[in-house]
Amino acid sequence: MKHDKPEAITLAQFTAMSVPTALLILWAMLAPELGGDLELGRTRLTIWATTFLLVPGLGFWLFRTRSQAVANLSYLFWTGAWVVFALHAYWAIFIIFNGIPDTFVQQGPLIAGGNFLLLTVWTIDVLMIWLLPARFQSFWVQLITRLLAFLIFAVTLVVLRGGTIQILGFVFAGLLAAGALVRAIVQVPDARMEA
Amino acid sequence: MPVSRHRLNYVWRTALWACNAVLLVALGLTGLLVYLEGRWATPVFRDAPEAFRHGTIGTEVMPLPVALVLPDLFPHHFQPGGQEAGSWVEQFGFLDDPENPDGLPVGFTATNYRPLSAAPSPVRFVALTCALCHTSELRTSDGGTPVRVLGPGSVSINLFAWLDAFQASLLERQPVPAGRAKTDAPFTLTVEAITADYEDRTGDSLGLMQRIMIGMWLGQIRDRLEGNIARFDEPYGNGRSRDEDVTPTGPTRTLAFRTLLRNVMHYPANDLPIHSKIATIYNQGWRERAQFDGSISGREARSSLAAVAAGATDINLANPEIVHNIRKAIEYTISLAPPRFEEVFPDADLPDPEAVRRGQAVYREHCLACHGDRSGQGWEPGARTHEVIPVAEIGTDLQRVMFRHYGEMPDALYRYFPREHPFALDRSEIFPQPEDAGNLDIRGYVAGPIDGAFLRAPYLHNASVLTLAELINLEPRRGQFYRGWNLYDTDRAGLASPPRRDGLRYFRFDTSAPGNANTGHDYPWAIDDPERDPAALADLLAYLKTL
Repeated sequence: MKHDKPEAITLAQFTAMSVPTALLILWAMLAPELGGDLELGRTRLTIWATTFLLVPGLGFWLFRTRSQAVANLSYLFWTGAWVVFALHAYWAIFIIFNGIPDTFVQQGPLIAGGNFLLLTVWTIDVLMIWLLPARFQSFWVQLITRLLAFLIFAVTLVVLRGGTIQILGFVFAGLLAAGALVRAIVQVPDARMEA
Repeated sequence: MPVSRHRLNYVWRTALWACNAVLLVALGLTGLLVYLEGRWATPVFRDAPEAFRHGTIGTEVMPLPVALVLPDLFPHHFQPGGQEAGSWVEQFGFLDDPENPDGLPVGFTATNYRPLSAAPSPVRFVALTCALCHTSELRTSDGGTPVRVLGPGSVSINLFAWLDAFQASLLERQPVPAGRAKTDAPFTLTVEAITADYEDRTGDSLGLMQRIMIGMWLGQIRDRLEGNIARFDEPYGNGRSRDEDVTPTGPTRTLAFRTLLRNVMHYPANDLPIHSKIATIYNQGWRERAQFDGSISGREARSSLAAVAAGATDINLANPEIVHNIRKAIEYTISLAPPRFEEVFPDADLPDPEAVRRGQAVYREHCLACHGDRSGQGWEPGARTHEVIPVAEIGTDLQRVMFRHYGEMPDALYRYFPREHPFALDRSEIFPQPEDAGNLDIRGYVAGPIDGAFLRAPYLHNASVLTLAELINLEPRRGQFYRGWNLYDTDRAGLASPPRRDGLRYFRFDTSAPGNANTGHDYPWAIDDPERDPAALADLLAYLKTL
């Protein structure tokens, strides 16, 4: 089994994703009401929330071949993270900045270009996962999209930011790097598995 | 009895469905809140005069219902002179504004922005506008018809005393039985009390969202005030906020740097006698330096920092409407011209034209070099106009420019606004420059144009000289006088003071108190200079009335 697509999702699996995702969205939308810059606060907290959801989204994906349940959780969290990231993109582009051209002006072509590229490939990946049958799923598309997400988040949080969000960036990058290392250690060729 | 796996599964699935349903409803309600928020505040882009009079500059203070009911609920704070001494508006020197739709005084406006953040609010908040401090009312006799003038610093406003009363109201608690801690008692001001009084007063009711917002604001501002007690101490209130020993700033003045020291640099800034008169803002286009000490050269820097000093933040100063208001108000003051003496006081004796002619000669000999002179519709600068005259030379009170942290303040202000902020500062427009931070010899007061000189009373940066006649040493300067709703003395061109305190002139100004010195600026001659020529000074006074 390749487990490159969610199959037979259970209510418990869906709820495992929907509860943290919904709570994180509520937190990102409501916590800034208590003070500070409301819209900037929402923009910042949606990126925190995306980061939190990406950890299981990417972590489970590394081990998706273990079982369909792990694969399902991976795709569910990946999709939940995409929803929150889309929310972040909307707030950043249309509320903090004045549309897409202004986003490029304000953020610079490198950062804005990277973010738009991620949003585009992530959207395509999510649509492929949920809409296309298993035979059309591509390991390489999934790998490249996730690598891009990991690199953009890790670099942005660890290198370009400071303070608490940088600590979150280190935790994010550290956990996933550790996960990848474990995956590499426990990986065995398919043939030996069958043997 | 065995557990039914089927029933357990049923309960488990029901719980999961319920959990998802609850979260879906919560997300929907949050979405609705975000949608509604987008409709609470609609930016208003006013023209220049309107922005000056009615545009918020990021100084939202309290919800409108709170502003309307506080004086009713706390008369002991808001009518310190007693009921018979007039309304709170009169007792703190504000000006009635018959055109204000909410019954608020001049310089109060209502917006749907929350304090500090300019986030949308379902309940309107009262904000302060430029006109609050820069509108004055002059009269020559009690009961006489007042003349309202836009541009000079208000001669009557006692802003710090009003703020003390406001803070005291928020922190007031119900009486406690003997032996119990004061903090055990509930606060007097509650959302229920505000709602009830507001509904009695206006006949309008407050909606759920409005009451939630008021409650949220009340909790937040109380937390802040209580957290600050350890740094700044409690407000006095209880009719004492206008006393000179409690609020030594008094009418017409502010503590120019205190808010910046506290909010930007996080110092306590207590007991600093850095009293500064509210400035007159005519013809700002003629001035190269703002502030009495000439510490700011950029117009936007001057106005944005004035807004920060009045309570705005880098966050709400990025709000498009607030940015617009500040820029338009700047535009308004660039060419705002003072009225003529005879327009303001049509019944006063006009200066003798011959005396005015002679006075101009005296002026040009003794005053032109620093202040420049009127030239047609413009202003002719003198050799030292726009120059900061060191305290050692001018001899006026030095507290305003010699306090601790003065030298390091420009760097802190420069860093306050992020680089991409609409009011991001250029370090070169805030003084002292880094290399001069510790140089006390260059600190002083700027020599600027004095158009509308007769409207700039009381004089000197600390408002310690009541009249032009005293400023030029035609008459001796008073060591003590009383401030509040002072009458205008058209002969001496300035404010009159009663010989003793009365209900309207309640604040004893003692020039021997720290920061209140009325010394210095002994031009053309010191009062005891043997060369002093009273006739020439009388002519000079006549000319000054025409500027």
